[in-house]
Amino acid sequence: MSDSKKKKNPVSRRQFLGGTGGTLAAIATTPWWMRHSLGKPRRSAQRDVFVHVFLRGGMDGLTTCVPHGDPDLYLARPNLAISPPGQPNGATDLDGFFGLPPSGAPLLTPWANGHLAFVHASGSPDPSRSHFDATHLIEVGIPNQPIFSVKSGWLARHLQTIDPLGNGLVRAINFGSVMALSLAEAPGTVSSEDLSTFDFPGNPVSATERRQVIEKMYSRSREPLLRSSADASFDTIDLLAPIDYEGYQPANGASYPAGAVGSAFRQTAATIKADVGVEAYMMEMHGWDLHEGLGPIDGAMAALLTELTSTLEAFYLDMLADIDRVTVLLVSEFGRRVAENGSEGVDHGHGNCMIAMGGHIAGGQVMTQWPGLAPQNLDSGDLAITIDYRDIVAEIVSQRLGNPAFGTIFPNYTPTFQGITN
Amino acid sequence: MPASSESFVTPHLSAKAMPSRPVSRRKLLSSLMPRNRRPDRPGAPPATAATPQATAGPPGQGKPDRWPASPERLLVDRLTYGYHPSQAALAESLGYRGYFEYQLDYESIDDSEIEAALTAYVSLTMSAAEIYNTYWLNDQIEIPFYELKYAAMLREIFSPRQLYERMVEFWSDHFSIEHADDLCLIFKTQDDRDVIRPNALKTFSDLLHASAQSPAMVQYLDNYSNMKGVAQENYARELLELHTLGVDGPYTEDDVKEVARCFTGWTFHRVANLPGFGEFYFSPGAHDTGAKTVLGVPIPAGGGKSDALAVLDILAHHPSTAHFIAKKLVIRFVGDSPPADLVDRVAQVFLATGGDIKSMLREVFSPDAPARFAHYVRPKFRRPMHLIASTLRALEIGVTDALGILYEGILQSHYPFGWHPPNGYPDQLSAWGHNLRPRWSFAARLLDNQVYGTPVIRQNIVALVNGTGLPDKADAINEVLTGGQLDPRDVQSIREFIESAPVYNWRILREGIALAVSSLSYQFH
Repeated sequence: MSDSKKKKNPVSRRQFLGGTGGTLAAIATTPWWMRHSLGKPRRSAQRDVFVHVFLRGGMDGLTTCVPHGDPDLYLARPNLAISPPGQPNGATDLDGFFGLPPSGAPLLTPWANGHLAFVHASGSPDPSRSHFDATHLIEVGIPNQPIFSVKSGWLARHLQTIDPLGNGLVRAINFGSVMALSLAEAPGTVSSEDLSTFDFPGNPVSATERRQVIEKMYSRSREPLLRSSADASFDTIDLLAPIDYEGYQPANGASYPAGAVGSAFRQTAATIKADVGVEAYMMEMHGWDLHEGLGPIDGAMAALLTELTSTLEAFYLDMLADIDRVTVLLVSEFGRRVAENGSEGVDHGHGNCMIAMGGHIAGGQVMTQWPGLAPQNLDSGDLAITIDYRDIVAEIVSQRLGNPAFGTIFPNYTPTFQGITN
Repeated sequence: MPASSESFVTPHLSAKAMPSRPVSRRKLLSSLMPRNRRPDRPGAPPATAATPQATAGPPGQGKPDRWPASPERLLVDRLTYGYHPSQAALAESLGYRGYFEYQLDYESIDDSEIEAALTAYVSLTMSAAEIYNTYWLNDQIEIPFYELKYAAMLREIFSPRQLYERMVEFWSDHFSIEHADDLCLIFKTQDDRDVIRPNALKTFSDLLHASAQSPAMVQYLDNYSNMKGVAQENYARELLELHTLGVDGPYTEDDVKEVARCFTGWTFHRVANLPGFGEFYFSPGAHDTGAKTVLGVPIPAGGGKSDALAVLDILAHHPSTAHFIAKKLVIRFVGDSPPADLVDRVAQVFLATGGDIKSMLREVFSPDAPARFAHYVRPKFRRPMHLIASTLRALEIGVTDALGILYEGILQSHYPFGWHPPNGYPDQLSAWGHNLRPRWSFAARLLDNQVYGTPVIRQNIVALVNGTGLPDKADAINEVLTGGQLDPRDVQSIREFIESAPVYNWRILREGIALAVSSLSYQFH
């Protein structure tokens, strides 16, 4: 039978198998559906669900949040800068200095409600302009370390150092097949491209027996990763079985764009509303590495931004009733070079903008200590960084995710809260 | 879209990875497995092989039923896309060195059967201009796109040149190019055919030079727009970081910029309707002829194409490159935590032989390798395509339409030339171990005949199982899949499943096989 028919035959009982870990042992002999009700998630105003998006490839923050008030932008990018407000294809002004490109217009909805903020000239202080170095260091959360000296992701360390929000069985979902490094070594985490097909495969007649066999096999693994991955797979199968993703109707007329990011946000919204206790959702969006043909008005960048910002607007509208317990944070590994290159693109840069959205985000502002785009103010030709991204993440972790352990999450760094939350 | 399986590919998955139009179905490749070509079987399985020796091993790594397996038998797991009795028997008869050298001397292995079948994919031999004229202009570019992926998968499954195909995959990962990126839709075919495949077992320098002049690479990493005065450093950076020295290599941001200057003017003929379309050329007018310094080596002013050639030569013989390549090879073939001494030895061979790939592999599989196998029965987690290939090989399941297994790969984000960033598909358990459910789903649906284009014929499977001569069905399944190398505790669990069924029938058999494919120990090789 097809994966999609699972709702009619959910495998609703998880047979406990010895040796899968102490905390699970106490609850696992209970049938799944009872366990779920026993472990009813605590609804705490102080603990948000966290949605994290990594924009892979180096998103161009000078297009996404245009510093139209900085004249040096137009000297460095005579062909590629978004024009000032009032001109054809010009920016929509936000605060007199920054503006949104035409493709960013959907963000005006959460912006106007004070639920969306940009953090500009932010980023990782590590000087690397390498995708893989910069990505790695942001995701493990420890810049200026020899690469691969740290194995766990920062979001994983957050989950490790705080009690579960719900029953603790499935704590994070990564959209994709390959686990994001931010969640490396996270407890109770599963990867999937598509939650709507996350069932136990095969003929339902024998599903219980076959599932027992597989659970038993993987409980014997000497790889902790595979034991926890198998556990998380079965827990997720049980957890998601009652959720009807295909029939899900977003609230407030929200319409998610087609594509992987829209689908991931739509499924995230459905899962959050089902209140099953998942604390973090991680997703990624590729394609931002636009060395050639940036296309800020009608090309590649505009298409990416349209897809992204329409998705964010849809999610915002859909989640409006619950927005006070949701925080969304978007980061990229670095911004792009201030000056355009010879192929109407922009090479790897440094400082960038982050985007935060949620009911307790101090929105309606571009938070920045703008260093300026004049050549003497640049960092090797790139936007300088005046706000360490860890200041933003640590504040969200502390103030919205209820975890004071940011010393473990970002070792050897004392964050300065910038007031991104309220 | 396969008509028989209404919804196993969701729209967003196909939209992300595929051109929007469905490909026409191909029914040309019927069962490719050389069923009657097993050599005489000097090492044929003994009739009663099923005495579980419940050796106390670490969890998930219990010693297989017939432990110790011979070094030759374990070598088959290391070199191929999965067990088949023909390869096991060959290894036993040729001996450890003999079988290794047999696989290494790939040009002596007759692969005419698979290659003859692949001639149905006419785009594989086309020039860029022919692909452009035949497909691009007719809005059918998905045909060569799919054909190249199909060929890669089918060669992995069915080619007798197994080590060679694994090295082709290794270098395709190393010099990774996203097939769907613009003109790479056209150019990846020639990159695969003319760059990767001819050089996969030659020297690293050959590969590096060929890759640097591959239009697909020039396109993918944008070097065609790298010109004097407006240097574009994408290729230069990845050349240093991903292709040669490694991210921890001894280069600076200044080196990246200088290498980019050296590569100014490396491009390809871009005008589709002019002769030479898609061929590499050096454009002197776009080249920055000033003096440069790369890794401390001065490159004098006035150079042309020779600037970049000099850079490639420096990089191809650099000790950091040797170490970087050696480490990746050892991770691929030996295990995720590569023994440092072995990496050093392979790196020494790289430097001593000018990067001779066969010599490096000989060092990886040197006479002390079997001793390492003794400690690491199954050191590597099968990547999704490897799992698919192994299963089809062992069960002798033919492929009538490779679209189905391509979709299986897409469901697990692992299919030929599909990785988006230029670092290539990851190789380690830590990357792939979080997504187990699609593996179980593949196994269950494959055996239930729900994977498109891979017909499971009941009589054939029953004959394979009965052909082992083993009375116990779990033992027989283990024998068919791995030659008896699954963890005995996994086999015992399958045995209990079969025995607990009220009746033994085809459903129980295929579900038992699917459980074996889903088992913990089968995820490793």
